[in-house]
Amino acid sequence: MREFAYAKPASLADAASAYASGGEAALLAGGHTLIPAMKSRLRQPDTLVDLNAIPGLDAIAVEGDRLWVGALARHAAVAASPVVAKAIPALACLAAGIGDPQVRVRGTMGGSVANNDPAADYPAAVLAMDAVVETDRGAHAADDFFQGMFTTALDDGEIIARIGFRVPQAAAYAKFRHPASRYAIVGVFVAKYAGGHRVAVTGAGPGVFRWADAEAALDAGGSLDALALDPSELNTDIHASADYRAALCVTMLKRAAAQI
Amino acid sequence: MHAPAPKPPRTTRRKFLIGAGATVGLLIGYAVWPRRVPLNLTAKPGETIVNGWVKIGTDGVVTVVVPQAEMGQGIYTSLPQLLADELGADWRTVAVEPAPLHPLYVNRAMIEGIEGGVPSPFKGIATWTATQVVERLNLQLTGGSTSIISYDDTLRIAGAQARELLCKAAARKWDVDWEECDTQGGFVLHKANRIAFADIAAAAGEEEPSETPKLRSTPRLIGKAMPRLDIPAKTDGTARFGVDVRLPGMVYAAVKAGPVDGAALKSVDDKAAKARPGVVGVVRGDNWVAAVADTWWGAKTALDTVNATWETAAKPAGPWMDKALTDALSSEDAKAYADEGDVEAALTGAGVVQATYGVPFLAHAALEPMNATVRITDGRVEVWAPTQSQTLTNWAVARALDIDGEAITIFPTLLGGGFGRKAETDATMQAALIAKEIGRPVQLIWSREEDTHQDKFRPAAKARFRAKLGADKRIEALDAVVAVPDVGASFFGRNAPALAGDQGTSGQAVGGLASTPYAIPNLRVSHAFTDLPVPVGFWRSVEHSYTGFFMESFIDEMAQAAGVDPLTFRLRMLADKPRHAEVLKIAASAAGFMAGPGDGVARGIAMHESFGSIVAQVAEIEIDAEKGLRVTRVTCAVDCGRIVNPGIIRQQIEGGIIFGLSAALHEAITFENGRAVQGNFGEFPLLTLAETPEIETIIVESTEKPGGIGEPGTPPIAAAVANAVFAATGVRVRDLPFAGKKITA
Amino acid sequence: MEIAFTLNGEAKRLTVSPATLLVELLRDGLHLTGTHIGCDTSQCGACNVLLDGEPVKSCTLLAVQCDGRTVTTVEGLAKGEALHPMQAAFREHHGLQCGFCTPGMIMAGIGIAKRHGRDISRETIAHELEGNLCRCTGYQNIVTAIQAGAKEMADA
Repeated sequence: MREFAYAKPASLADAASAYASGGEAALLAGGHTLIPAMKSRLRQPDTLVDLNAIPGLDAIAVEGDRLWVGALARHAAVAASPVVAKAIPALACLAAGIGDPQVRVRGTMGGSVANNDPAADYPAAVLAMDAVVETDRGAHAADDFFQGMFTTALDDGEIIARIGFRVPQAAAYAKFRHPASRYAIVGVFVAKYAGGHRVAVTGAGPGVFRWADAEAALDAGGSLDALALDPSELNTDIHASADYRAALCVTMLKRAAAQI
Repeated sequence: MHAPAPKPPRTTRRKFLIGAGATVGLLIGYAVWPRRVPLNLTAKPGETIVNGWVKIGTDGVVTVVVPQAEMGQGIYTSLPQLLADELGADWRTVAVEPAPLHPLYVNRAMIEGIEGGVPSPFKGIATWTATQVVERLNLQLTGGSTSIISYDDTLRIAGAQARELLCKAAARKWDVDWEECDTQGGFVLHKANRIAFADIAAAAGEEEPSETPKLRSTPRLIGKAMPRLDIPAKTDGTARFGVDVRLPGMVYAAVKAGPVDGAALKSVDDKAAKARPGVVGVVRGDNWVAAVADTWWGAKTALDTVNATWETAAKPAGPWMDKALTDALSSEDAKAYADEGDVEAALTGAGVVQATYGVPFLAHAALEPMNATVRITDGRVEVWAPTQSQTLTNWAVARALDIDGEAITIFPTLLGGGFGRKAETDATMQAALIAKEIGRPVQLIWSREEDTHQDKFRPAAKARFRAKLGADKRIEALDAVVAVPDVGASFFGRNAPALAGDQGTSGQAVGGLASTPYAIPNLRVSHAFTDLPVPVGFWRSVEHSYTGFFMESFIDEMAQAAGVDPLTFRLRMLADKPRHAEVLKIAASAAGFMAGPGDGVARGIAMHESFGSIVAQVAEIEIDAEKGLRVTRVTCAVDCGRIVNPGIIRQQIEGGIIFGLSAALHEAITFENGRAVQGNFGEFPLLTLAETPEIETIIVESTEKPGGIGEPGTPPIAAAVANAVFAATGVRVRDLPFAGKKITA
Repeated sequence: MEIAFTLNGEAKRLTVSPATLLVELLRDGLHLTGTHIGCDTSQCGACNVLLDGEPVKSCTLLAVQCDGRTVTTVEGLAKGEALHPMQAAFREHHGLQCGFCTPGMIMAGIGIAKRHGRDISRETIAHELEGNLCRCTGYQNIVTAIQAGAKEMADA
């Protein structure tokens, strides 16, 4: 990790200007993605802009048909929030299954979504629940937000303020976890709306994606057995081959669907 | 009560040699050694060195001198327990001090071996007799589950001798017959008289010891789960592991080495590293480069910016090694270490069952990575290291710095896990060289990745078993060939080159097979030595970690071939081995093994003897369509001879099972271009608590001499699980680990 | 830059580089070596400390992030001679072997007790300890210790 300057602004505007004037800058939320990346020299910022002193960024509230979760809301806070539990219990469950207790105390929703790790859990929820990612510059629809591995629609220096999930009639998340990191080897989020199902898959491919065939099958109410993803588009690593991941996607889909 | 004035350390010579029946002469004092090596045990103010194993202070603290490294196995408790029992000490006043490097404290069992489960990698290393080896080499080494075996008699006799000295001194004071005195709870007693050890220890130091102190007929502390002496410091943060040493002016080093075959460093670009704040220097070794800075993290991050390249071996470690092991199974050069009856004649015609098994390379993954701290001042070298062997550490530093071993003082620290890895001296040699070049005290700590990449691995191995049943449905003939590198030769080549024997000649590689307890009239066990460019080392239970899996899996396969249940099949071949049969029966009965699969639980059984102890385990498993294989319960019976501390035995057995289960389910190291692919725990996952089965351990009461306990829990578990998987699914898993294999009910 | 925080009950004012990890400051700067590094990648939990009373992994926290907050390490858990109930429970129930992971386990145990209260099932503890690795024990005594420690904490 090389030396860097550290700024702790008290507002989003100050954060944006600290970022703009900080050379190659990085935003620090929970730090559980950024700090490891800096430790392994994947990220070498000149300036670290710590967002933790900005008031209100960890708020959780329902407004209209959406549940809004502040970017700085910790995984542990989402997991324990009565507001989340009432509106979207599946989201609380998902948060409770991220990492381990020590990680959940630090890690934030905004950090996870901005980073868009292909094996992270939150992107599946954001995409399946048609969320709006609100930033200091505007808003992004989930369908346009995730653009492949570690890539999002965020501009350089654009800061996520909060994320609004369209509250579904029912939802569930099923994940096959990596034994050590607890990241998703495969995670499938199913959300049911009046207009039909939305299904998002994380961990399996180079980034989170919607699974149209699964959505259609769930809408039709038919069997899920015939579903199959093309393994050539899925990841292979020491934990699971692409074929195995393809099979796990179906298994996790069934598990999630069974809870709805 | 009077308080004697503190005495300076005793320097008087003391008779030492105590004959103990037919066993080796036991050394508890220090009269003969001073001819060439004076006892270097020191006394603090107020302490009396009663003999080489125990000091008693005027504050009443009884300090037991322990030569073995405490790496979690509880030896800082069980060895003092032996001495304190004979001494009559109050357990609450017992303390521990690591023994200095001295011939008095050598580990005899390590070299001489033990019946039934010879752990000795030293077999054949020298032309001297075993006792000469042990004494001339001054070998202090914690390994091979030998600690209790080696020091049991010594510490009890040392305690008894100290008790007699205390009694003699008290008797002189009271003017009574010393033989009518006894000790209890830290006091010498005679009728109405009582005096605290604290108040009579100095006088006891003046008494003449007897040559044959009497041992107690009824133990008071031995056999009980006495509280561990190392626990308090480990719960309040004051325990000092190797990485916790802090010296004035000390700097920190991080290191990276190249391919595991030891290929030399070719080029180093360290400009960026040297320009970083806090960096003290960059040091090059023959096959490694280290960065030194004012914090460890500073050193690590500086090292990350060092561009280094290494030479390339002609055939670096890689996936080709798998085939090399397979090919070796058919080699003509395999050397037989058991050859009874006529195996070839018996294994002809129909009915020969054959199976081939394999296990991968494994890392030790102790939670405390390899490290050492070295300070060089005016030609004196001080070393703080979490080492399983002061002796090897001393030799290694002497070799590295080209100095006399006499100039080196080793301060052994607690070990944050050892498992065989910390008998190696690689990190200490590096630390010594770095300290010499930098000119300041240096603490070298390996990163987790370096610790995995540069491990001295449990070797990969393959085995081919062939056998045939006799008319009585027992195994009539068995031929086993194991293809594997030679751990002992590899270890000594690195750590004691002068002692390294020819590779593939010790028979250690097939330990546990050649000495199988099963009555098999025609038996041949061979080692097909396979030379692979990977350094291999002692890993908890060493060769038993694979021979246990091979043999006990194959025995199950033969039971299946015979159509006899796995328990009965084994018992029929153990008619002459009542201890083994008993252990099997106890485990089976406690686990409800014979209940069979009817109750919806699949069970597998396995039994293996190693390091002088016999262990049988029954594994219960569940196979979930989504989550795969889960081991839910392990029932374990152990006969480790006379029981010293049942609490520690239970902990060691549980730990050994988890260690073996973690390997069986998850662990494998693979190589590409001479380097280990796996680094941190993400790639080399350890079993987590949530995956840990319930474990029930039954310790068999025994009057036999104590066996080892640190390792024997590990060998049977992989086979017990494989046998359970077969019982549940009909699928026979012959290659470890289970991870990544499709196992469905 | 200068940071001010409470460490083991004592106010500290220190100058640190922003790139300093909390664990580095504790171990190498302040010589509080009870907090260990096992993996340096927030997997093993040997570096757990309490930040404002919650267990966190100090290998993944910058020292500057602790400005204005309270940090407690294993050296600061006891109140004078009296051990913290979780420390006492690890002693009583032999919840360790080599002891290297123990400070981190004790911190995790305190977090579990705070979240789940007095009576905690073994399954819950097993699940909640997934961020802590131990290579020695077989874990069973650790679970027993945390169960007992949680009771003591609730009753204290």
